[in-house]
Amino acid sequence: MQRRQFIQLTAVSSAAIVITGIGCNQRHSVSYELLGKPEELAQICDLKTLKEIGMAYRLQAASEMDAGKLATLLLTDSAGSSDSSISDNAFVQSLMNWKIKRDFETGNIVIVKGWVLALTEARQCALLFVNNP
Amino acid sequence: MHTDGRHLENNTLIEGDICIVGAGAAGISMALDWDNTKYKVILLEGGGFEYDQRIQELYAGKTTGQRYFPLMSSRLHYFGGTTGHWAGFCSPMDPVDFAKRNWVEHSGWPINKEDLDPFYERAQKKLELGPYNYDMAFWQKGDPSLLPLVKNDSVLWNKMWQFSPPTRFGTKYKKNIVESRNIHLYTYANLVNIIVNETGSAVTAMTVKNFEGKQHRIRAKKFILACSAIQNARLLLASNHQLPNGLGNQNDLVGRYFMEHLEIKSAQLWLFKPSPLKLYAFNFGVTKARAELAIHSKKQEEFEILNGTVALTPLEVAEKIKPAIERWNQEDPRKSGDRFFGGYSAAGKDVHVPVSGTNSYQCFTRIEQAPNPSSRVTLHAEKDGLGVPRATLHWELTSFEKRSIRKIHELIGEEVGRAGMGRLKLLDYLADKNDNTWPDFTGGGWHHMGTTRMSNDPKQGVVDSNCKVHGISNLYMAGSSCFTTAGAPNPTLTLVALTLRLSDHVKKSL
Repeated sequence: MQRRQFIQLTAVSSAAIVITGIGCNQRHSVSYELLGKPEELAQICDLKTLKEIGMAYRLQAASEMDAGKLATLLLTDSAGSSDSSISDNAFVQSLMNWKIKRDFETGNIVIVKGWVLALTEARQCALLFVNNP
Repeated sequence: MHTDGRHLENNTLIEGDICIVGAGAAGISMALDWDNTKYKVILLEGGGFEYDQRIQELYAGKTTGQRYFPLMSSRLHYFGGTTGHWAGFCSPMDPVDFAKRNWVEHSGWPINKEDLDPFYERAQKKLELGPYNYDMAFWQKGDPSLLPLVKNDSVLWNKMWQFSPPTRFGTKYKKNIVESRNIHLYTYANLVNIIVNETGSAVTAMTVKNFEGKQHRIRAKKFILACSAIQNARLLLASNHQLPNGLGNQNDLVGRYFMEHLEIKSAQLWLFKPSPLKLYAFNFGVTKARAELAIHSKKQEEFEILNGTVALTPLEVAEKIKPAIERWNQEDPRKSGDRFFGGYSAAGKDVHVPVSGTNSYQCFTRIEQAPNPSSRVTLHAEKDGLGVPRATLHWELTSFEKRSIRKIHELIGEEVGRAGMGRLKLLDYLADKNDNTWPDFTGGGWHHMGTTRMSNDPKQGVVDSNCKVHGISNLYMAGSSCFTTAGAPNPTLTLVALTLRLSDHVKKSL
């Protein structure tokens, strides 16, 4: 399923939380707190472990050091376009879950501190760490 | 018929049609295959019917290279052999295990899985297993609750295992052997030398000894060594009175390519929802069949990895169990056995896993070792109590095994993630792909293989496709010493099957 189709199928409205990405040119209308919450992984990892994964991922991916960059990447689709207007929490959560599923389907996998992860959830952990070092 | 070699008059000449040396799983299986035939079968056993410390000490040896179990306790030296304490895990090798794999140097048997299938079926009976059917669907018919972890089987498949009671050959088959009219069992008859003719092209006799100072001579038309992979090689190398390099060793291959199965904890599987994973569960003495996760041969080829399987054990239980290499550290196999099996019993008592299951499992790898000429058995300067040089085992692993273990678990992790079941975490020793060291808990499965490997080319192997030693017309090797590659499963089922195939061949050639 393409991201556009996904949006059409799952988009619902809710109040936007507008936060400016630090160190990034793009403004994001979604909280980093929400973006930095790997929902499935959090079922089996405590906060400390998630942060450790995030810290380790940042060492592996030096070009993804700041929160704005990570947020942009998380909201970027496979075609490379980022939608900064996304503002609905439930939608963002669904989008992240969908991206994680797609990462596994397409082999977009990273190994961080031994964890075999979808790239998206590794980035989520990195964002979590950046916001809560 | 049974004769105690200690009670024979010194220098007795024992004659028969075939002589089988070693009364373990291979030797007894072959001997029984000749029961009630017109042939006189001599079956030699170095020990008696019970454990004997002095006899067991004949198996003591040295180890170098990768840390290993004490050689003295890694095999049992009495009637029944190591089946006296084996755990009964059985599964056939896969077709890919026999194939020439371009990514595995020195791979490729001169026989294939189909050649062994009829003998696997016969071996199942010797080992008191169920039907020769290792298809998961077959076992699911009997218990529909045996569900696979991942339904998509394009990468992972479920390799079934069956469990022998385990058959203790020493007790199960003693009566058959002792009461046979044509099988002549000689206990306390330790092979110390193989005598060949002037050209070295045929065995003319064998010399056996015991601690009562008796020495006897064996004559037969065909001789079969079934003494385990280390001892088979040791005896060929030690029979060097006529040929300085030993027998069958014209190409310096005897003892080389020693292989073990690496058995090592490798990862943790974390599920989003608890599950009993019944298909993979094992309860000693109760479970008849279970699965381990395996990688499809096409994926092995794609990623150029070795064949291995992964067992799943509830993490809470697994973490209570010390690594085998730490528990099995005594020269006396009874002491090592107590420590080893006692560890499982204690863990089982301490931990209660609910029927609904748990959400964390340990991934435990069994993987073939790549054939490696530097991993080998040689003779040590020190001699045993009967004057035979002791064995030195140099067990050598490479980065290939480690890369393969890592990739296997990456693939499992990807499939588990793709299925939305959970996530997998590699253990620390696998986290860095550039790290080729092995952790302290690295161990084997007491599976000695490959020291007289099979190849139709005498420059590549010690025995031909019929297990006959190249260049010697009447000497055969039985058992896992003939394995060209190790496969993933424990070797007993395959070594019995291979021995029954050898048995058929010898029958035809007599």
